[in-house]
Amino acid sequence: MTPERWSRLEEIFDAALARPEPERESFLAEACGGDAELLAHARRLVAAHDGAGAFMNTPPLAEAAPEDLKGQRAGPWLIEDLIGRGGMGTVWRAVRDDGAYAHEAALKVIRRGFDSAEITERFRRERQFLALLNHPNIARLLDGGATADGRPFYVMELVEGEPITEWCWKRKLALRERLRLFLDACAAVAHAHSNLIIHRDLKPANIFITREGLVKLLDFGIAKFFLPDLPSPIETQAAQGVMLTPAYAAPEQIAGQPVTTATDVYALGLVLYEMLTGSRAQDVTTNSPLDWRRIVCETAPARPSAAVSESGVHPPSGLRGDIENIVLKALQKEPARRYQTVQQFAEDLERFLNGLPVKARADSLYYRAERFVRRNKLAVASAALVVLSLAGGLAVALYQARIAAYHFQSVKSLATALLNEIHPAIEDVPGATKARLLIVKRSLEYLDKLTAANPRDPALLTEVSQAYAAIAAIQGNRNRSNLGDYAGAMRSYRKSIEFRKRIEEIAPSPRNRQWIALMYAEAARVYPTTDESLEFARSAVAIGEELALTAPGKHDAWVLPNTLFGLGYILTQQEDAPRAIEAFERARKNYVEIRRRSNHWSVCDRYLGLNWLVLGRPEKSVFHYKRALEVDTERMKKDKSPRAEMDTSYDYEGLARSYEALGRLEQALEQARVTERMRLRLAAQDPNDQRARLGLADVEEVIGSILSRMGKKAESLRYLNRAIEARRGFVQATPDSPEDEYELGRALAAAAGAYRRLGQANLAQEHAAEARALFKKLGRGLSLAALEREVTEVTASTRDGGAH
Amino acid sequence: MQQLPEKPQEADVTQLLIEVSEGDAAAVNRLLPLVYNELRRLASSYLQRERAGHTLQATALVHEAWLRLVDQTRVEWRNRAHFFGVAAQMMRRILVDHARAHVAEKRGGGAVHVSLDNELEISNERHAELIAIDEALTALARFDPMKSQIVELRFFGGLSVEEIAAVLNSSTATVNRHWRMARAWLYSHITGARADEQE
Repeated sequence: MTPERWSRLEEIFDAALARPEPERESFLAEACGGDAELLAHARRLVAAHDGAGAFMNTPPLAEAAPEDLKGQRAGPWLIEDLIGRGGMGTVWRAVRDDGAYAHEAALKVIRRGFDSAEITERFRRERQFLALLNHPNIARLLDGGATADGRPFYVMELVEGEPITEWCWKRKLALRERLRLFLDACAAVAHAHSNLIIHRDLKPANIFITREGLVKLLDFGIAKFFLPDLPSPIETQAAQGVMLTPAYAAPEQIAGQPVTTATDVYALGLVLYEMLTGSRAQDVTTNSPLDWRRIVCETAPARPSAAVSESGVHPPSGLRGDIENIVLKALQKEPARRYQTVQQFAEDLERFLNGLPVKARADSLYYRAERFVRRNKLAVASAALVVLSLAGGLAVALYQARIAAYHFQSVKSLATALLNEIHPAIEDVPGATKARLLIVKRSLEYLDKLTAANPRDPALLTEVSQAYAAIAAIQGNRNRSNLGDYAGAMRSYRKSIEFRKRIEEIAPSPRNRQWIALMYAEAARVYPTTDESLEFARSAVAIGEELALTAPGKHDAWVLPNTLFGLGYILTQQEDAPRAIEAFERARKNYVEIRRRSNHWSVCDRYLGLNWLVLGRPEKSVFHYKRALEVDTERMKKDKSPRAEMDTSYDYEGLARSYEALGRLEQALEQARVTERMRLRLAAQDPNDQRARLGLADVEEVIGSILSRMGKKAESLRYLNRAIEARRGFVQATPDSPEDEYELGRALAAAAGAYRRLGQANLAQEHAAEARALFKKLGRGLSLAALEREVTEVTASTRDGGAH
Repeated sequence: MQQLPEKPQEADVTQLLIEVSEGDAAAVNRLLPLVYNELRRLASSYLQRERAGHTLQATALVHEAWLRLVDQTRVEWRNRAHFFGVAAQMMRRILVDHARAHVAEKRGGGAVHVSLDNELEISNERHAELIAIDEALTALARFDPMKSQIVELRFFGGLSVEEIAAVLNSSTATVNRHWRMARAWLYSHITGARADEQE
């Protein structure tokens, strides 16, 4: 057949099929216009189309009958009829013929031909999940084992009944009755969640009502632990995608995004929708992932009151208002906009049942309210809250049982996952301390177990070392929100360094030495005034110098200036101002050479200014603060972040302190006022910003001191008292923090000076005594000397004043 | 066959798919053997246990190969479509080879011990049908490669109409239209051929 004739035939064939059947024959005759061969072809094709029946409707591999296990045994169980067939297994009615279990049970076994390593593993996990759960609304696990041919099976409580939706529909239950049943299902899911298990495949077919009317949750076949442990080779997002039931899948499952407890909330929302309306919220009928995406991720479900079919709640108007809003809130496409836990979902339903105002609002209102909250922040916080709510109900014994079962690799991954995935999610959540402590505790246990065998594999040592460093930072890195366990942090840092050094013995590399330097530098900051700290800081610099000489690559050029900066910081804390100045000068020079970002230059300048001030050379300080201000002013033109503004405000504050020391009080006050305005603005922007709050106390202290020198008594004391108050708050909030204690001492010393100048000797003594005690405790010799100088100097001037 | 190796050639397949999407036609030829080997390995582990009775869909096989071979974080929808296009072609080869081998074994007379239960009868009939479809499809490809490919994707690869439309950059209506006529033609070709044989 020529191409021309073939396409002519195609036209005729299509056009014929577009016509009603009785007209086809006459159409064909007419269309072929006397071409008998063409007509024969066309007739045969149309006849074949009508007569092909099921031809090619089933793909070649989709056939074969299920095996028949009836009459066979599995352990002590005798297998009876086939009850059901799932994705990976078949379920049989079974009895125990030794009488140890009087009732019939359900026996689930992997289908033969499906016992690949992956599926066997998944099956084992399901059994494991069921073993962890003990709830009246969850089918109970009774037994487990392997069949004669080696396939795993397990036996659970036999649940005979019908899916929750059908139960409601058939009995035409009232709204309240349907909700009561649904709340039982919620309780079951919440129980799973509190055991860190997400079901991931909730649907009416998995939520049964027994003949007695009891809700039973079934099939944990694709459930997963919420906390990552037992990493499974098939646990890719896409693998979950293959197993899911599109009509009951959440958008994040279709999109391959992380699954959380909010995923189960969504699925429960779908089930409730169907229970109440008699229709599916997601009408997925095709096998096409494109359709799934369109329907699940992009199409909002019809309002329940508008979707009620015959089986639904009547009259449909009963679904308007609060109950509708609750269902739709559970069905939000974005996980963060749903109820974050099943409990919250259930509580809102309880509120509805009790006639109380519910949390769910109509979408538009909710959306408008939410716009005021920064979106990312909300998402992160919600995710974190889920982790928290789970960690709260965490049973330690459960954890340990689970851990004991896993081999080396899993433990390693678990420690890493805890630190890298779970902890960051809750780091900034207020009140998460308990969960964070638990994470640290567990991680340390895993790591100690890992290293007990004295490993020599560099990859493992690297991982372990990184994990210890991460723990140390959580315990007590003073640059970020930490747990205040500084002694623990030191232990962890030492461990991290120890393992890095062991790597250096086995496989030395500049990169590894870089890490050692970094660990030394971080460890030094934990207790900055100790000898060990100074030793660490010097060791870090030594590595930095060595790297600069031997491996002058661009990517590690920052090591030397960073370690120098760290050393300068420690020396500043130890009040060794001359050496600190030397270190910061070198650090700054290096930063400029490698063109490290300009904020590194200005922070060096600020420390230089501070140290010159301590040495009593305020004119030098003015130079450095001015230079820093120049760089930072330039930077603020491009960088509108609070951080850049905060840095700049430090420059102004330094200038204010320097001018005050020079006796140029008007100028000092002017700079201090600029600082105050910036800090107030920053504190207002983010009331939770600790740095901004600390900064405000700093500048209050400076202004108070300047005003006292100007003789403005009342205003001065107001400022100083505010500063002292704030400092005391910080010291109380972060125990074992030498820096906060030092700053409290400084505020007290400033107040003592002010009181002296204002002629209030008693108050001056009181404040001086407290400051003295703090400085002594902290080993702050210079500050102590400065305090004594101030007190004497002012005493002299007061005496002078009194003589007039 | 028991021990499944780690994701084989992962990087290669992913990279090749990306190159195909970017218009590198030669990449397809390098992709074929990789996909074939993986599908063949997966399929044979299932087919070996065929008599035990199982339900296995081409879709599942192709999806499994997709998961094993391709780094899921690096690919997008179009890559997936290309992969499935190649996989369908390979599935056809595997299934037809298997059917041929099966039929040959039967004719060789070495399998008399096999009990004549219904299940096996159906399955034998199915093997013959598969071979016939394959041959008819090859004939169809000579004058209408587009239809042949659509049949391959849908029947052997287990792809949905929407997926096929994505692979061929066509509309679902067009794909449906081609499928309808191809199926009619294949049916008439095969039944006609059988009728001829009988005459």
